[in-house]
Parts: sequence; structure tokens; C-alpha cells
Amino acid sequence: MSVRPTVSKAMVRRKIRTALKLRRAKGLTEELLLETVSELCGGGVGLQQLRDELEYNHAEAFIRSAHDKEADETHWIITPKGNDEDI
Amino acid sequence: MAPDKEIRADAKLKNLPEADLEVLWSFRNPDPGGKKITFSKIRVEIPLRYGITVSQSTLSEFYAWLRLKKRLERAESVAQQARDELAKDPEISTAALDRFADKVFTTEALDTNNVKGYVAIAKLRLARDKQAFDREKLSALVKSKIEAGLDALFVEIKGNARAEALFLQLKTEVQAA
Repeated sequence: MSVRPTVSKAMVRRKIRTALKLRRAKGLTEELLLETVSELCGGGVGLQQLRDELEYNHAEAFIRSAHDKEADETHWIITPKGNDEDI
Repeated sequence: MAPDKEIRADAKLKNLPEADLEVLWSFRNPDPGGKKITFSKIRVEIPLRYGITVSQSTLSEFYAWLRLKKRLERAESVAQQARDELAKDPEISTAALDRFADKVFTTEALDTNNVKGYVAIAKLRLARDKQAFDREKLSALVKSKIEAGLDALFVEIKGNARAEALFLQLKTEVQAA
């Protein structure tokens, strides 16, 4: 059974960008984003919701991804467009 | 950004100079012996100092952001120190140093009191490891099935020179795929 998200989509989308702006050059992994976004939202953000809203931000070109093959890790990084979005 | 877009109060706070952010941080995180200032008092202080009016929720959101900012900066600093220390070994490549620093950053940045966060991350890692294992297992299974099929086919065509030549061609293609 899927758990209904308790935090709004708009808030998670915005907090993803907020968290990534704190590490503009290198970005954050999904693991760290899950924790930081949840913290900024006051808890209640699940992995699936995070992934959905990462996808939204990616589709809007607010964020981009960079994959490190050796470490097998993907970093999400804020784009200039995403950086200007919430000012 | 749209030209008529109003700048949010929390964005104004976040864009204050570092020295001002330090002052705001010290309100809630005073030096030992100092007194923590309440949100209500800070709400009165901010318009006087910076000309920005903030709601209670904006202030609470701002402090959550500031706490995270501090944590990530501290983690970055520890990661950089660890990287510099490791960089004394000339045999370690820049890429390896970067990866190492990133691991240190992630470990340092994780909130040690966030048990739920750790569990979620552990589950993520386990799921990823399992996926990789399943992929390898499936790949090995498919390979052995193909090889068994090829062996059976060869038994059928053995003795037919033309078919054997085509078989070898097929086998080479399959192995290369």
C-alpha cells in the first residue's frame, strides 16, 4: 500500500532547489537530498515523493544530474534557471 | 525570474551578508552562558535591523535553512581537511581524492540524530546492492541458457560444413554482444 504524502508537491519541489543551492558546484546525492529536503519540510517526505519531484525539477531544467561511474553515484546539481526560480 | 515577481521575505533573509547571518545564528545558538532569543523577539528585531518584516513561519523556515547551511559548510570543511591530508600521498589520483572527500562530506553532513534518515539511506543502499546482484545473476543465467542453446544447436548441425560455418559466425556475434 502506498503512503499518501503529507507534504505538498510544491513545497518538496522548492525545498529540493533550496537544498541544492547550498552546494551549487558539487550538488547532493539522492540520499543526502532525502534527509535535507525532509528536514527543510519538517519531516514527512518519502523517497518516492522525492524522486517524483526530482523528476519534475529535472524536466523543468531547474536541476541536472551528474553520474560518477566509479562510485556509482548520481549527484543532483542546481542549474542557473533553477537558481533564479525562487528569488 | 519574472520582473514583477515579489521577492519573498525568506529569500531576503537568506541573501543577507554572511556577517548578518552569523548574528541571526547567534540569536538562536548563543555562546556558552549566553541566552537563546525567542522567535517572537527575533521577529521584532529583524525589521529594526534589516527592514524586513517576517512571519513566525517564515522565521522558522529560515532557521531550518540556516541550520542546514551551517551543517553542510561544516561537512565541506571537514571533507576538505581530510582531502588535503590524503593528498600528501602522491600516489592517490585527483579523482580518488574527490571521491574520498565526497564520501567524507556525505557522512559528515548526515544528521546523526536522524535515525529515520539513516534507515532510509541504509534501505536505499541495500536495494541498490540487491539490484546490482540481481542484474549480475540474471546476466549469468541468460549467458548459460544461450550457451546451452548453442551447444544443443551444434549437436544438430554437426557434420554439415556450411551450417557449422554459419554457427561459428553466430557464436562469435553472440559472444561479442
